[in-house]
Amino acid sequence: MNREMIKAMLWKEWRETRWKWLAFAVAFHGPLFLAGFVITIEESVKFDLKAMSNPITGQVLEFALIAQSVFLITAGLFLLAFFAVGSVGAELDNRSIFFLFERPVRRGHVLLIKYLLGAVQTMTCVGLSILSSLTFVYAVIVAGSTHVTLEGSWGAFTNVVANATRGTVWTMVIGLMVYSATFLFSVLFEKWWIAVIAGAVSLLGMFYYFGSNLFDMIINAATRNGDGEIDLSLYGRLDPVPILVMLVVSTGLYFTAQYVFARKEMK
Amino acid sequence: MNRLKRKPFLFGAGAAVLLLVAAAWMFASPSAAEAPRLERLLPAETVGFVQVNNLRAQALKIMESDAWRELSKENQAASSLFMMGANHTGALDASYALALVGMDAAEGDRQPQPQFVLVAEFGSWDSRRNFDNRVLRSLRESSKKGVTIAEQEYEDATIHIVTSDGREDVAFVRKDQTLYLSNSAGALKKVLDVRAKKAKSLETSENFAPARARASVHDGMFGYLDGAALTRLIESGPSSEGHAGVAAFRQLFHGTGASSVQSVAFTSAFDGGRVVERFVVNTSGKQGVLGTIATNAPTSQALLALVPEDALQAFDASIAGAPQTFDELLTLFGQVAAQAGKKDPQELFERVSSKTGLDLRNDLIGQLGAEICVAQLPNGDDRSGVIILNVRDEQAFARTLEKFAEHNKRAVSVRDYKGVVVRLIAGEKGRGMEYAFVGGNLVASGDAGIVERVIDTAQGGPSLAGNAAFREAVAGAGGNPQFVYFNTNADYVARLGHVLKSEEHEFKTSGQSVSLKPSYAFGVSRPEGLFVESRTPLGTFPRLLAAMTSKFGQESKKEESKKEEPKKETTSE
Repeated sequence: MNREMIKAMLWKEWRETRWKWLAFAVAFHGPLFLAGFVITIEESVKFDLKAMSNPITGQVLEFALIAQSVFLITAGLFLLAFFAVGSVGAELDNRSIFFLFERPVRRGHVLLIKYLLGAVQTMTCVGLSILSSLTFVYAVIVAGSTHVTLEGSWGAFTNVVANATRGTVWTMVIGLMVYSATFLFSVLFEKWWIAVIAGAVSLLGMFYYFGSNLFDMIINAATRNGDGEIDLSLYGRLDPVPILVMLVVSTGLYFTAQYVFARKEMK
Repeated sequence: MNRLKRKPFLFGAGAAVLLLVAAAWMFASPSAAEAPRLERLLPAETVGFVQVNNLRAQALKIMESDAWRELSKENQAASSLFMMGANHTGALDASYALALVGMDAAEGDRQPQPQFVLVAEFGSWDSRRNFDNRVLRSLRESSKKGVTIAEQEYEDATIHIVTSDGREDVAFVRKDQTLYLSNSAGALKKVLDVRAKKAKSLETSENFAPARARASVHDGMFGYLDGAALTRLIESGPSSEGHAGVAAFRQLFHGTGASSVQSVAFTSAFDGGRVVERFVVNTSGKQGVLGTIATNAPTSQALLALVPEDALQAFDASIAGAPQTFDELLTLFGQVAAQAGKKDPQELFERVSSKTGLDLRNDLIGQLGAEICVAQLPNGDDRSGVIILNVRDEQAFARTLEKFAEHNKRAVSVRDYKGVVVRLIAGEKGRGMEYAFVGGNLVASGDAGIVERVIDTAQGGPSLAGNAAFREAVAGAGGNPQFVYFNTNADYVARLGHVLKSEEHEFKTSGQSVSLKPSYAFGVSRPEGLFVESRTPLGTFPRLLAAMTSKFGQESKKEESKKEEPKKETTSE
């Protein structure tokens, strides 16, 4: 497979998924849209925005970070499963993948291109949504509040963004793992809805396994100190062991998908 | 159809347009709280009422004012949390009117009671529900003994009558987004009659309409008092032998000339980032003490030329009619006291006279000139007051002060400052009163050095009258005022901190010197009555907000703690 072929395949994948990816990116900013909607119609919330000051800005940004993180590890992962599930299964179902098999390209390479582009798209959305949400929230506060100044609140913003950047590493790795698992289901099941159910069941299984610890970890135990103030120390911890484990799991899932795809009987 | 199915964007665009139309409709239609004119809900015989329009809008204007910006610089978190706290009390999203609509008839041994009605028109159902829940809880918990709530149907509404110990405490009616609350079910019926169009509203009153039109303010606060209705109310009081107090009050009311008042209108609204408050007293004629005050000559403001330029605040007023006003008041109080069977005020003056050695009428009041000025000056890290009094006869007034010192056995020391004799009457605990006569005016202060500063000003030093900020402020005063008041507002933010400070909100109350536009007030007598106007950073709004926040904040907290109680129980299990 030469460079032209790779470019052509990437272009084909991008063209087919770009609108879906855009919708996916928009959906990942759900809390932001909800907040924007509430601010627009609710006088009381608009008033609070107006009343904010520099010290309060930091607290609001911390809250926004927590809210977006919670959204990512709950609804966000289901969204991700929906996005990933159409990667292969849909093309198998409508048989458009056979067009590619008639080209001088190996099956493995077709899957690799699909996986890589999907993974990049997924991780971009998952990772950047935290930062873009925080930036947007900050912009709205500075523009809408009477007493918040860039000079007075910039420190709080950069502090939260620094923590959020480390948080994006976690969410991207978790996102990659979930994406890889759903990608495997997409290869296994030709019917997209079977893959969706399988993805959803797996996610529920993951939540069941982690139980309330997952939420405690994000919201309670690690994000609140005794005074009820938000503590972002969890975001400061980049533990390499679980990150590596998740990357290994993701890689394993990808190779399993390749193994299944290579042996899959397709007519 | 199939073509449409293939174009999901068309559906998306359609949904977006629908959403936009819904949002535009929401923004275009004003909420009930935004366009109140609550007089339309009050009966025509309303004696007086005060209305606050859309409290949330006022709070937003407070936040955008220069004064709040300055306050927020030093109290960033506290100022935000105060406003957010006020927001979450649930009391902001409404316009309120508190009205006196008449008197309840006397029953048995119970005296006649004034009937007050509070009308709260909310912006939404939720706001009204929150508000009346809190008011009701407050009512239930305010009485130690059992409270019962009876219901009575009237017109298309249900009157809830709250009684404790068999006595009617309060009655209320919820109707749509409006809550009516009163200390009398009878008063609520009057209001409900207006609502049902069975009775005329205050809006149609002949006296009210011109007062409302003259106010020309549809924002902030509006207050109105119907002079004729008040006179009728006072006249309708019991006049039998057992009610000497009521009869005496009636005489006082007429004697002061209050019965000649046609209406009093009050407005308070933001203008250019500050609050302009106006009182207009319309009178049919200038009678009684009020008439004497109204016909008082305007102040020449000549004494302001003696006030040093850096004065923090100053009040200057005409007292040309003081002896006449004093005599009239003395006569009036004498008559009232005789009617009420109380002591004659003359006896009080005799007691003062024996204590001070002065004849109050002849030695003091009779010696007053045309003008008085009271000012506050910076004195190191502190402040000191000074009084400058125009006197008729300098020598005679000097003798009065000497007489006072002699009678009270106080030492008097004399010194010279730049050719002016400065005397000090020693005080009982070390401090005394220093005074001098400058150009026929008495200058007196309790703090050393202040009289000298006035003398310096009189001898060519810069005065407040020549101060640019003062001149700019007085430029807005129309006519020839009877009094003027000026305040640099150097300590305004600290004072504001005092007003807002509570257990929950820690505001700095000292050490903040800020540059705000000065406050200015003046009062002027016009052919149609009296007019008073003030321009201050925030007027009475912060006090109003602080009061509401403190009351409803407590109720809001109780609500939250009640919600949390079951959770706590679950946790402990």
